[in-house]
Amino acid sequence: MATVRAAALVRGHGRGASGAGDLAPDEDAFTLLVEAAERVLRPEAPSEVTAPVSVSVWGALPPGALEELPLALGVTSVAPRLEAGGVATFAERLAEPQPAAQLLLAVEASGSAAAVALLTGPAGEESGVEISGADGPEVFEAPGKWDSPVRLAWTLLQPPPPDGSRAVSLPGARLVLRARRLGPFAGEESWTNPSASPEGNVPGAVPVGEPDLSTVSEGAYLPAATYRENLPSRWRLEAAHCRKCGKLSFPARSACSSCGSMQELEPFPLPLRGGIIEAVTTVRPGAQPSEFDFQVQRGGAYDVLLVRLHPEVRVTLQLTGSGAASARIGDRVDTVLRRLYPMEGAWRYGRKAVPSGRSPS
Amino acid sequence: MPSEQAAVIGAGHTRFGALAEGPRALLRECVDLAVTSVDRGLERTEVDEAYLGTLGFNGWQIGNASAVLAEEARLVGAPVTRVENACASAGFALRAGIQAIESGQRSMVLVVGLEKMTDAASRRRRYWLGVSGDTEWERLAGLTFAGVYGLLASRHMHEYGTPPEALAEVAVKNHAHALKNPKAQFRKAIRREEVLAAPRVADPLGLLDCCPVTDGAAALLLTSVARARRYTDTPVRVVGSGAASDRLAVQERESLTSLAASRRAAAEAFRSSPWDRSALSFAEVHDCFTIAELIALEDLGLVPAGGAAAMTLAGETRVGGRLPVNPDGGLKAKGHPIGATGASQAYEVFLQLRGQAGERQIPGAARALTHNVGGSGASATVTLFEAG
Ligand SMILES: [Zn+2]
Repeated sequence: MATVRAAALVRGHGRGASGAGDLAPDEDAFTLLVEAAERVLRPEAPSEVTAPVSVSVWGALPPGALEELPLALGVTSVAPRLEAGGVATFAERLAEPQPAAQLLLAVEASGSAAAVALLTGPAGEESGVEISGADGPEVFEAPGKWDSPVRLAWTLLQPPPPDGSRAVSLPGARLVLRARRLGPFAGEESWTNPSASPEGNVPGAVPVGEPDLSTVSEGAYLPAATYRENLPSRWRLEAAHCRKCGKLSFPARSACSSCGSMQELEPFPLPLRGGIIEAVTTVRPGAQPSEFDFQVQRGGAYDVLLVRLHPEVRVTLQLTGSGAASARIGDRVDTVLRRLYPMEGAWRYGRKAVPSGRSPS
Repeated sequence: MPSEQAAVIGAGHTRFGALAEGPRALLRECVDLAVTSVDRGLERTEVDEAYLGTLGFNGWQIGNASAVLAEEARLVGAPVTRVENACASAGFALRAGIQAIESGQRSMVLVVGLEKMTDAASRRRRYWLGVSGDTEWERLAGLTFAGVYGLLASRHMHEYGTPPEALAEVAVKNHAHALKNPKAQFRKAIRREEVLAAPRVADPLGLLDCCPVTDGAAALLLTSVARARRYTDTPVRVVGSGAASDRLAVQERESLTSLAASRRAAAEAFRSSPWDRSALSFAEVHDCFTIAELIALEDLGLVPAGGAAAMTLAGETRVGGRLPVNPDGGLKAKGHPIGATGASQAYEVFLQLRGQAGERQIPGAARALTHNVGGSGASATVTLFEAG
């Protein structure tokens, strides 16, 4: 019997024509998946998801995002699988002999919501969700309604919080998922599950109004190889700790920024939450670098902060999910993965700040 | 100790602004003006080395721009080197020229600063405006230099209680100074209320806290003090030269209210100088944004840390005040053609210390400082000059 340790559903944080839940200009399916997965993984004891972890994804992702998910999540030595066929496959996966843990990720058809569930232990044959809490087991039966992985995770999020974007938190509870093969995908309501293609890039899955990336940037150039080399720092705020002099370097580079040692550096994850703002500016339309033109056209002015994440480290972060000119020196912020800028035909991603407490800890 | 002391014997300066002339014409004009400014004349063949400070804004002739200077200065054959340290390019070109003279290896050096910024589409221009900060961690987090200096301003206000009025007063003062500089880009007085009410660019900085986009060039002729008397009775001697670097990204620096490169450069320059700060007649400091002038006053040791706002609000930095700062209008009102600024500052010193600054002449000006900063402080130079 596979045990659902945690699950989260994240909707877009934008407020578009169709109301709440649209993608913000700096969001896409990839950032939603990473945000949901971080809510699932980080608050839980990381030791529970030591390797091997299998990662399965349903739905459309931006090009290349599938291969980058393990890095974004800090899950090493995993080849993520892109699952096709919707619910039946999802249920089958639960019934398979299981590795130590599974991370199930799903993207809603419009690309504006994503769900992530973390499962451990072997799968069983039964159906339904059992929530074992302090008051004894409560079986939550909802067969026929788990018509997509997103729906499943959404079900686990009972009761839905008002803004629809909070992760489930059940201290001491044990969620038991008893999986079974379900009927063909019904596609009711808006929870249509796209048939994912191996390329992970389903035509039509990109929100209307996206820029033509091939023409976007006449701007600063950061070669893709350099961008990729620095992803652990850019995506997970990984510093380098020098065993020789004891100092931290951020961003992590091939040599210690204090003593120059190249031999004794080890990854040092900075806290992703609870940073303190030391300086703030509001970049008004026209003052942005040209790489951010699309974002400004869609979202207007934005704040950029210098955030103290550790006594030895501060980092420059854009503020997202809060109006411009809203940040104050001394405020606390958490960090989330977001789209930063397009370059060479693809989006580049990195962390941004959100006011502390907006995402659950 | 250097075997020789360097002196400026000639200087030339184009108008600053949105100019019709292209880079070649600007180079030609400033060099011609420098050559003709030499009181007893100079043959171009006497110039045995030249340095060109330029960022190469808009991508104009990034490689081997020095050859263009050789052509336009009619120096083809002489060694010419391009120096690039962002907004401090000409400051470092000047330093290279000083060292060439001080070492005794060269007898006559031409130093030129140039930037042509207004001739490209605005999109391309905005690209180049933020090209000299940390590309990966600052610019690609959404910052141009206005944003970086906005961050520094927010922290300076937070730590020292620096009021917005002090920032505004820097702009008001430098605009007032530029009224008397016929080569300045803006010759228009502004009021403090206008600065405070101007549209915001990168809070707390508004439009009138920012230097403009400018075309222009300036040239200097350097020789040894021993040789200088052949050319003029009123050379301007270089009595101190300092330069320094710092980490590229502000996030990696110790202080958010001070530029360590400026402090280090000033310390080096004053170490070799026969006089100290109290002897200065005036200072030319790097005021790319209003906050930058306040930080410069503190980093250069002209006022204790946190004291620049009160000093400025008291009018001490106006022409006529205790220590006039940027009598030519500064980057803010004279204009800031990136690679030209370091040479332009020395041009103002050349005029002032020879009593040739016209309407804006500071009576009795005898000792001056120039301070040139690259980007948000990754590089800086400080040069000290004395008349005679
Ligand atoms: Zn070290």
